[in-house]
Amino acid sequence: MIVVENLTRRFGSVVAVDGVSFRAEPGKVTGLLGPNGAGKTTTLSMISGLLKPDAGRVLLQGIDVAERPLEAKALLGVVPQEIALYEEISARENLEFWGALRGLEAKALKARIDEVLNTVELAGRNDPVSKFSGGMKRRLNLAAGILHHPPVLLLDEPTVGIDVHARARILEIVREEANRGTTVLYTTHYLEEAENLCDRIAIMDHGKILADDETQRLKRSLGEGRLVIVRGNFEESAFRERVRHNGTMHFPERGRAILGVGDHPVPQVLEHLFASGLQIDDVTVQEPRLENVFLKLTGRELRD
Amino acid sequence: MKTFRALLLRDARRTLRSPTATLLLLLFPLALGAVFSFAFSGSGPPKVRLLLAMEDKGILGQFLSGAVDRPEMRDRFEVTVVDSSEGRAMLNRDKGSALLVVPAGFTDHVLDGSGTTLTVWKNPRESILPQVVEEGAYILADGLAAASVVLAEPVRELRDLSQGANGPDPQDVGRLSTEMAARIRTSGRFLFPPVAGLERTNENQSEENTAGKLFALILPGFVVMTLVMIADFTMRDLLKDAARGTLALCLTSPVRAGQIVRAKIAYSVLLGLASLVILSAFGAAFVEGKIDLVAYIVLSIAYCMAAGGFAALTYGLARSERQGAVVGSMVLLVMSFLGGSYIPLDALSPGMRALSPFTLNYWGVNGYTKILQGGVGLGGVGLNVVVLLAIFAITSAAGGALILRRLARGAR
Repeated sequence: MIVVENLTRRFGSVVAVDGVSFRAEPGKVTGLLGPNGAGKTTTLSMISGLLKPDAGRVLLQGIDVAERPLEAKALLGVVPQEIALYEEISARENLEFWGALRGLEAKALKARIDEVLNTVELAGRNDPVSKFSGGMKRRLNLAAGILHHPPVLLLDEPTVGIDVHARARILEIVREEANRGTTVLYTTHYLEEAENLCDRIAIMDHGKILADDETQRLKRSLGEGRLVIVRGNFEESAFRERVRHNGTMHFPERGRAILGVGDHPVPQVLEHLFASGLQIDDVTVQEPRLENVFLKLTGRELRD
Repeated sequence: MKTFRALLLRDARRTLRSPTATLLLLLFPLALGAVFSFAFSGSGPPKVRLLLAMEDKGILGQFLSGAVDRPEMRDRFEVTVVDSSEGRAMLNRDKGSALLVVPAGFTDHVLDGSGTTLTVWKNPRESILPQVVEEGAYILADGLAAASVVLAEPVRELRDLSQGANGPDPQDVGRLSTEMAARIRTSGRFLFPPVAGLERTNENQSEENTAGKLFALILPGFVVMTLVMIADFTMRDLLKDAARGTLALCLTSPVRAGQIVRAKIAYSVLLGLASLVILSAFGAAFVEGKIDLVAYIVLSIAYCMAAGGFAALTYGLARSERQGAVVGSMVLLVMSFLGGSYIPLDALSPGMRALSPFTLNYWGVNGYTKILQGGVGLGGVGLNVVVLLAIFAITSAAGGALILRRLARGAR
């Protein structure tokens, strides 16, 4: 389990992480979702002991990272955002190094390397890593992170810049790790990825956690049932005054409204909408999505 | 220990899988040494193309004409006897280094003490060789001036005898010769002090041997420089690892940052020693006589350690890999110059020689020279070893601390 309490980190006058608190449970994938620069990587760096927080603390399986860093780090598997591999040597030699660093014994390490190379579909590749494609390197990076069966796995945007097949395989492996009981903390700015993979999501922006809940409940926070997304030229006050709607209504920005349909029939909602006389340019009816949650919380879209 | 071994094994594998850079570094001292050896060995300095316009018919003129034909002179001078106008024309056509004009009546003027002039025309296309002729003419003029004082009387008498109708009386010639010899012996040590002596040994050695000896002489300087380059190259890897993210990933594992830094310094020492073994194997072919192997090994270990520590300090102080590379190269260049890697320590000016002991190279070059050419043992290089180990202790501690401080701020 990961417990993050009131974590704060400043770089000069910039507060990169501002009083962040959340938990990640074993057997679940917890997503840290936010745009680039939100503070996700800084948070992960503090959890992994790379950066010291200015305030707050991190507990891994009950061990304080600041107080007992080596014990805490022994619990970790880390898959960094950039490809962190030695390109001159082979996949197996890379894994031998990372496994030895994690304290795996030679015999167990060899068996585990065979296993994990099969998992990431790189068995039989003896050429230097420099010859690998981006997707293969990403998969090997993941293999290095899960090689020692860590109870806590941190993944920092592990699917950036790779093809659909490699991405799907990585997400499958992450899910398998969580199913084995591993505590997985997964940072991403891909909404769809977070939505499909994560059991729980903390939405982060400007160094703060804006929402932290189970994925389905987060989506339902906009309203039960389907959503009607309205775009046009109107003010919130005029909309509230002229549109008769008993469900939830959110106005993330001027000229945009998100209506929770709830139990009401969609045609009835639309009828009220068009009868309002407001200038409406676009109406979309859709299932609740994280995109809308992010829009509601931040007033802007999180684009892939 | 297991982690330390893993860190060393990783670096060794990376070096072996991608050996080009290391091999190029190893080739550097061999190639540079070979170039220097062949450039400065072989047939010796070029000959002076002396154009001699001998207008004097007297005894000194005959003496000078005979002197330039001696074998010692022929080794260094290529003499062409010309008249002065022809000689000037040849100089203009770059057919000589200098023209020496011995004027008519030169002997009489010298013996009379009435004063005369030797004229040297220099070829402006050449710089050093005409200067040799000019300096030679000065020496000749000084010598003749001195000789005119000491030997004027017997030579004058000899001239008179030789100009007689029946030729000189052998008894008179013998008497005069004995007198001249006595005068020369008496005044010789005042007139011709042994300012410099040149002794040539091993007359029969081949040109190849000369090049080989020179190679053995200059190789240690270049090797010492290369070992610093290898240490620099290895320590630079730590900053490259930081940029790649592999260092950060290492630091998320249960390994102390100090262990990572120590392993990198240790690897730079080991790679330096491995390189030295290869270079020594080449160099051994050119070293004559026995050397003290223990002294050689101990000095090598101490030097490689000092080079590793020095590189750690360079990259501890540098803010980026690039800055470290630039500053490291500049410092290496200066240290190599002052420390005797490019120019033998004895050939440096006194001012530069005073700075030499402040360089890493000096303690290596000086130590290897003592072992390879002076035949000294461990005791002879004891000071070198102690100084190098002290440099290692100080620089590795300071460099390691600076690197660790940076890692504590983040592994970038």
